[in-house]
Amino acid sequence: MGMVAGIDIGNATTEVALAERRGEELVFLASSTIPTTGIKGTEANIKGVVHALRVALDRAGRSMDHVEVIRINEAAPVIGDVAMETITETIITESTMIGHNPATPGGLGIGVGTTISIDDLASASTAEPLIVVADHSHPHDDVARRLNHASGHLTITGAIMQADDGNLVHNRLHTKIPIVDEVSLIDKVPLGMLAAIEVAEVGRIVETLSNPFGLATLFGLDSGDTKQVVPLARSLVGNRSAVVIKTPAGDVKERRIPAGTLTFRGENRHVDVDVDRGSEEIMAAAQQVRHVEDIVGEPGTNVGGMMEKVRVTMGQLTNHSPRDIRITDLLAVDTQVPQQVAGGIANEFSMEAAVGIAVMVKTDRLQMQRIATDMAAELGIPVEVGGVEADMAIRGALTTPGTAVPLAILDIGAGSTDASVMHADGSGTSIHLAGAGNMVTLMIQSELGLDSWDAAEDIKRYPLARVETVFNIRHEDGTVQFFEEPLPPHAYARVVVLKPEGMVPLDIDLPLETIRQVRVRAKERVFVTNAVRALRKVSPTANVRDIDFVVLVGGSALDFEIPQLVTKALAEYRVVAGRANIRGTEGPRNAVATGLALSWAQEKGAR
Amino acid sequence: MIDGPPAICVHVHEATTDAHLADLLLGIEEEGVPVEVSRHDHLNPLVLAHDAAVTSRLGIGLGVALDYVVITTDKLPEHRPYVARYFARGGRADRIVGSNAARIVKRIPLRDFAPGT
Repeated sequence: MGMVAGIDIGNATTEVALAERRGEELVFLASSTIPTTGIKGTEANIKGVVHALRVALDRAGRSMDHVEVIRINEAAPVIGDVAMETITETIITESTMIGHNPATPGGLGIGVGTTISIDDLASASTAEPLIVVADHSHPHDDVARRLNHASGHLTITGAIMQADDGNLVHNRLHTKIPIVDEVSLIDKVPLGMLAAIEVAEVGRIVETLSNPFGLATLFGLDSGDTKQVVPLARSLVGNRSAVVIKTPAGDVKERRIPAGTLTFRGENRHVDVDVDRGSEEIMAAAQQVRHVEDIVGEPGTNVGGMMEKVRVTMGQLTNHSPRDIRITDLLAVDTQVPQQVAGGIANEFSMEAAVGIAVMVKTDRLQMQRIATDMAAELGIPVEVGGVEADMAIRGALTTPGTAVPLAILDIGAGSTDASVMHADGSGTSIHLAGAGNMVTLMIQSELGLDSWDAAEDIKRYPLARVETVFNIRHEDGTVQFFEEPLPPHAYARVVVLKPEGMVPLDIDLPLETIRQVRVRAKERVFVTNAVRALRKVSPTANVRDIDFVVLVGGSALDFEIPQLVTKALAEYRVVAGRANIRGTEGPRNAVATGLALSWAQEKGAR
Repeated sequence: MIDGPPAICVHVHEATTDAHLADLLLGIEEEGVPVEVSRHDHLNPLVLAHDAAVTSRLGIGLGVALDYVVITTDKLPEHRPYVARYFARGGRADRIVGSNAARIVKRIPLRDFAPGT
């Protein structure tokens, strides 16, 4: 019969290409894609393989005994991992400030005075201006009554409240004052200290407390003290309401966490680079070493701990001692991470600098031969391990209409970016680089401060929209879509991810455009950077321009914007780049499976 | 009433007391949205809410009767309200319903109706 099944077991999916030899020609009958069962390269894969094969056979209307031979891929022996470490932190000592954006602060303007508990108000007698501190045991009407009563004999210039009652109190006051509410840890606000409070108009941000000279004016600071309050003022920028309290030892510090150095070890030289200096210098250092054999972090530092963690994870995955793990490539990316401020009393966050690192480790050949033997026994059909994955992918990719050698393929997966090139004479080179889909997810997760990896995956994969009214959403590009049924209240006015199975509201209070920018920037910094880096390495002249055609294959090529981002970036090098269309029908899927079937037919024909 | 100032309209059954309504109205007030309350002899909260919504110049109405509070908009049919919750069951539930009615007007995300459940 001469029927062959090319099967590609990938990290995420198992793909089958079913073909039949008719004379000199190989005719493709059917394809299938099934989620991979178990971790790639383990016996657990067989279940998925059999399932995928049956689906393809059903589609072709054939049965298992028609299959003459099965070819599975020789998997690329690399795995990747990602990690992130913040390199700055903001610490508040002695509750010197509150800077946050309660949804509804009360009043307007600036007040300066000494902090006093609302319980002590009745017995107080002072000419000094006061700022009243009220915890949530006092309901709004009680607070308003006490403030109104006290305003007869005391000067009250502002209030700090724990409950979300700012507007309610404000509406009931005879003399209006600025009120900062929703201060969750109000017990930490020091009493009897000089404090300044500012509430900005709707749509504005605090201007005086975020200005060092404004603080100097309010607190009567000299030039030396004014220098000290710069970090304090800076950390209040962008807030609608703020409180600054002057305590003897109070301070706001931005501390740089010593990140340590990375060492790239090559055959005959090694290069050290300080992680503090950012991703550009790290990547420049990486380029100075050809054939990196291992990358290590300075012991006892953040980056040392981070690299050690990666080694341990990789060791567990590959059944090796962490000491035997060799990290052969690394991609560093600068990023910003929202971190809760240490010592803050109203859940303040500050954007801290961080470095994200993706690494790649070479492993032993995966146990493909054993899987092949087991499969042959189970199915009663000969199973061969055919060819290097990258070569098979190129053969498959060449079935894309409009391509010709020399051709490069770019396979951006979850853990690594793989590139290979086939020259006009049929010879080829292939490489694997650190940094791919998982790195993008990690960056989205940390930059948006998301709790779950899955939410970050959703944002990476699907477009966004904002629910505008009960009946309509506005897409990223500004177009409006109406619905016949009212949209659920929990999605109202939120940014939603448009998954195929429905919209998922995001629990983050950021504008759609900001979320979109984080997503696009993460993709550009990982995918575009790596596409150029990979092509440079496989190009015979180390120049991206000397490759004519670049075809994107694999899961990431299905992404709704990655192919466009890469096409745009590579167009600058005059390279024709685009998403593959295997056999003119399969899109970017099935390249390796198709290549496996083709290679079998070629060998048969040659024999 | 459609020529009155823009406000959320709250139509309540005449047996509902001011004390009962207090938390609901405080929730709206804290968000800074004007509100108008009127009493009716109707017992169906869906009808009360729908009438309130079409009366409101903001297009948002609440109906309170029979242990229920209903939020709806003038665009929704009477039998398909936007939100229906139990009323006056204690805790902060009524405040949150009020706050969310105001948030619909302000087009900002709603708070969790039953935090912690």
